Amino acid sequence: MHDLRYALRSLLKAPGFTLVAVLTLALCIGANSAIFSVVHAVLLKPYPWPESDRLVYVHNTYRLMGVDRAGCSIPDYLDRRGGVTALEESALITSASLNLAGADMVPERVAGLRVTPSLFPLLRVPPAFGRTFTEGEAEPGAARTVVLSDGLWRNRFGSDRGILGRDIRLNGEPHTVIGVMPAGFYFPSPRVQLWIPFAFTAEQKSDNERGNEFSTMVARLKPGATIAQAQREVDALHAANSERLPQSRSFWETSGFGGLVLDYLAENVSEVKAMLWLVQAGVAAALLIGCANVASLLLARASAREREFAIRTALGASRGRLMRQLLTESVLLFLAGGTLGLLVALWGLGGMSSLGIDALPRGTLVSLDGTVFGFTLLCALLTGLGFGALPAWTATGGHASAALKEAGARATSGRRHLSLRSALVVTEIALALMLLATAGLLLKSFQRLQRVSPGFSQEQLLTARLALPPARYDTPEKQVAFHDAVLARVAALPGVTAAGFTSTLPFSGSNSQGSYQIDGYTVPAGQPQPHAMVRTVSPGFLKAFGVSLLRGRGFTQQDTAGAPEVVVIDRFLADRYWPDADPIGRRISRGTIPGTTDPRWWTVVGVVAPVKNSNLEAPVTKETIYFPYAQQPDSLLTLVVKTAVAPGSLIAPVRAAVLAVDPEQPLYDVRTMESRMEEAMQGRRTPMLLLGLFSGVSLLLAALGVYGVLAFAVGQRTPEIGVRVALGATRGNILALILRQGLMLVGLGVLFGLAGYFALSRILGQLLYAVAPTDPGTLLLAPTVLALVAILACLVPARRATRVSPMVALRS
Amino acid sequence: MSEPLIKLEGVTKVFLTDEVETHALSGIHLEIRQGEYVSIAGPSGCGKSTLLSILGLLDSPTDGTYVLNGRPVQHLSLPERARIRNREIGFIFQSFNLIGDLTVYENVELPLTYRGMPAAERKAAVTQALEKVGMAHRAKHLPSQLSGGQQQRVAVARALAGKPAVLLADEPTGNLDSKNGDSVMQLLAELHKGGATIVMVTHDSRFARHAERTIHIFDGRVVQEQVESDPTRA
Ligand SMILES: Nc1ncnc2c1ncn2[C@@H]1O[C@H](COP(=O)(O)OP(=O)(O)O)[C@@H](O)[C@H]1O
Ligand SMILES: [Mg+2]
Repeated sequence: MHDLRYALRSLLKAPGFTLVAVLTLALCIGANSAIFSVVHAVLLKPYPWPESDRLVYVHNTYRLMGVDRAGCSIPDYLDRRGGVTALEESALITSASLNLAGADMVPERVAGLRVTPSLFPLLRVPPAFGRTFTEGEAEPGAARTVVLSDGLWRNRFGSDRGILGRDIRLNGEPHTVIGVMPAGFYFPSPRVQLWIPFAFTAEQKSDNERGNEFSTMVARLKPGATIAQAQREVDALHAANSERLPQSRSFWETSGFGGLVLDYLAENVSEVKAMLWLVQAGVAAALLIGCANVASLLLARASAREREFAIRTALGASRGRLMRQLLTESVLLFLAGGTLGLLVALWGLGGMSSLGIDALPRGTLVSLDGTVFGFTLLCALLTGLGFGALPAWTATGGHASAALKEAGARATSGRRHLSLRSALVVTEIALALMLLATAGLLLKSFQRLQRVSPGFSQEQLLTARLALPPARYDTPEKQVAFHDAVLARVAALPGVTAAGFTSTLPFSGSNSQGSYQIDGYTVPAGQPQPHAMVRTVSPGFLKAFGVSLLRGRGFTQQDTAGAPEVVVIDRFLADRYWPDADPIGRRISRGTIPGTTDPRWWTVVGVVAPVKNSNLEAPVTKETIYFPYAQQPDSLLTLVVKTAVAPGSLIAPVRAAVLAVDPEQPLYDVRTMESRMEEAMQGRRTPMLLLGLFSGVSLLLAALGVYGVLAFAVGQRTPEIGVRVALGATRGNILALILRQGLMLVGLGVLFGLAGYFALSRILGQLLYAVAPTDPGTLLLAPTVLALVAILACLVPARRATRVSPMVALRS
Repeated sequence: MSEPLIKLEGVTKVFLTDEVETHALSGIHLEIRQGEYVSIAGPSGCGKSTLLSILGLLDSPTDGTYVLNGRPVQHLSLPERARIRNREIGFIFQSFNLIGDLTVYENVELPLTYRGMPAAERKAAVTQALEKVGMAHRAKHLPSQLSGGQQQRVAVARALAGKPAVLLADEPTGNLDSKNGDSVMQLLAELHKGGATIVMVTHDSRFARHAERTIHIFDGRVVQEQVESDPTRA
């Protein structure tokens, strides 16, 4: 208590020092808390379902076809649900795009999920009130039911408990509300607002459905069961199926078909994991640098108080007693920094959400919760003790008699402080260099990626989704008529240069792929069957999207349902199967002629450039086939509008054009293509910006550190400098003398920094695009920038040294 | 008679601290000829060190002229003053002022490196200077490994090495016991015999008698000049 009062008084006595130290710490600890809150929410925090660490995915996989995770088909799910003893419970889910509408409601698009009734028991979360689905409700033809999220219930139904048993209209059909989930519950993400039962038809349960993987299987491991155990059982199931279904066996073998059991959380965050840890490491390095600076300041303070300590020692204070006093002071300082740091973190999180943290998996769950508070406190406490102990130990180490004797002893203790502070600065420079090089590489990588063409032109492009409710658009003709009418109206809008529909919009997170055959091509033994990304597009889509036509033609209004069936393929397919021949006029088959089991043949009429679908970094490794939507209709299409004006200005006219065709049809997810691409790049942009920021701060802190040490050194060396000047040293001589000392520190720091960087560069490699972690440009530039800034920092004390008067020599 | 080596005319020095003027020197006239051994005496605070610092171009006079080797030096630029300090002046301080991180050899060499002298020449000059003061065998030692008297001998060697026009010593024995003090004085006397011009501040009348001429200062003014009949007699 006495220590605390004394520490407080002594800190307040030096407000300048206290302010600088607390602000440095607040900034560094705050940034750590902010990043940790992201790491915690995304990577570490368990899902809000009891024992969620036992949840797994069970995907299908076609390893040899380059499809690692293919979802799960209904028969495979049924096999596994009954046949894998390591799984306690399993569920199959599939996304449902739903228009929520009612007599007294504006139609709204809500994210829903079709789930087997087993999902809620699997998650072990009971509803807040009402109930969840019974197995009977998941039978085809059963009365339609729905379970609402707490959020939807509050926002759309006014928290009315009387909602139970009432009907709401989803996609134009009444559904009875049977339950509302508790607040805070979500599955799989907070975006999903309602759940409806997933019913399997007899046909869907049959072996014919195998290979149709439009759903996702989640399961809970039995207590004590492992993923490896479940994997072995899944493998055994497939072996048995392979025995039972000889007609599928060869395809399964050549495609590397099988099941894949994966940890639920790890799988969801696998793409961002390395990058997030990198950012956390970066900000931790910045914290260490900040702490080193504060420790250096503490050391300087302690050094100035050495005489006081000597006197106290002479009066009988033990070293432990003195250290406790100093440690109290530094812990107080660091705790103040940590407290203020929480404010910085709060503010930083606001800034980061504008950088797209929300787009991370689980990113909407980022918050400053108890764990983050604890982390911050721990950070402050540990750094305070660690970095406070160093100066405390050094300052109290001198002999009482020696310290009292002044000059000579003071000089040696000064040298001891100096070497300690020099070591701190060398560490700072090393860390700053590592950060700088990393940030530089991420930047270079990002720039290279931005120059990669996606295969289409994203400029001046407005995109929006439409989902036609099957109830009102129950025939292909109605769907095509609707889309045609919309296209006609949109194309006529002023400012629109082209418009079209596609079933799969690149960089929207969706994809669709399937097998096909090539006329006259027999799959060589051991080779997988041709497999392509498949899209249904309207005439005008390829032009509106800016996909280059390389050969032949695109689709036209003449490619109607009754006309000869045609497809457009991309160059990847052409090069793969007709490397030396003209693909125009060749035929491929996919699907069957409606109402028959005969293969449906399509004639190639055009070849277009390959288009990247989900990220710019991966090269195109799979062919794409475009089908005309009149011949392969779809009720879930994305409208793309090429504009001559700012695309944003056309949102209202396009919406009006759709409503003019069908006043009940909402247009949703309206965005420019550029913003979609940007979002797809955010996984790289945000860490790059953050690391850039941290490395900038680190650079500054390291420069401050260098400055502090040299200023201290100049103070220490003033008499020596005076002598040198008296002996005829010029200002240049003195400048060189001090700069040499600074350069020594910088050089050592750069050396250690490069060594540390090389030790870690292997990990960095996997996060870079088209840049080696040992990129010579960056590895030259980063130390140069660092050295220049450090030398600037050296110049200030060095210039001060040149102003030392030779009279110092005479008077000392 | 030839032109004096050093000629001060009406030199005053006023220090301004906290708006208080200290007249450290008032109208000093002084001539020192080549080869002379002059001692400056007077009570503490009378201005001896200030006078020496002006002679050594460590400081400049507030008023008056200073002619060194026939050249007025009171208004020279900083680099020129550094150059003259380096080439024409050898300074010996009361507290030795050797640089602790440098060896004896390096300390003596230091002013020569500021002159840009080639290494071979430096080596010869340093060795010769160390031999003159009898410290050649300690060339590799650090100052902290030497006694006070030895350190002052090294400081003398450092002042000598560049063959300056004048040696300035501010109470060179002030930090030494009488035995070591005597031997340093002996060394200066020998250097003088060898032709060196020496100006030494001391308040010890015993040592002052080593010099040919003693200038007494009181309150910033020369109050008396005294010429020894036989300077070699201690
Ligand atoms: N840098 C300075 N600033 C202010 N006063 C000074 C300074 N240097 C010397 N003095 C004053 O000038 C006077 C002469 O000092 P000094 O030449 O050191 O005397 P001495 O060497 O004879 O003991 C003293 O009163 C001293 O306090
Ligand atoms: Mg004096």
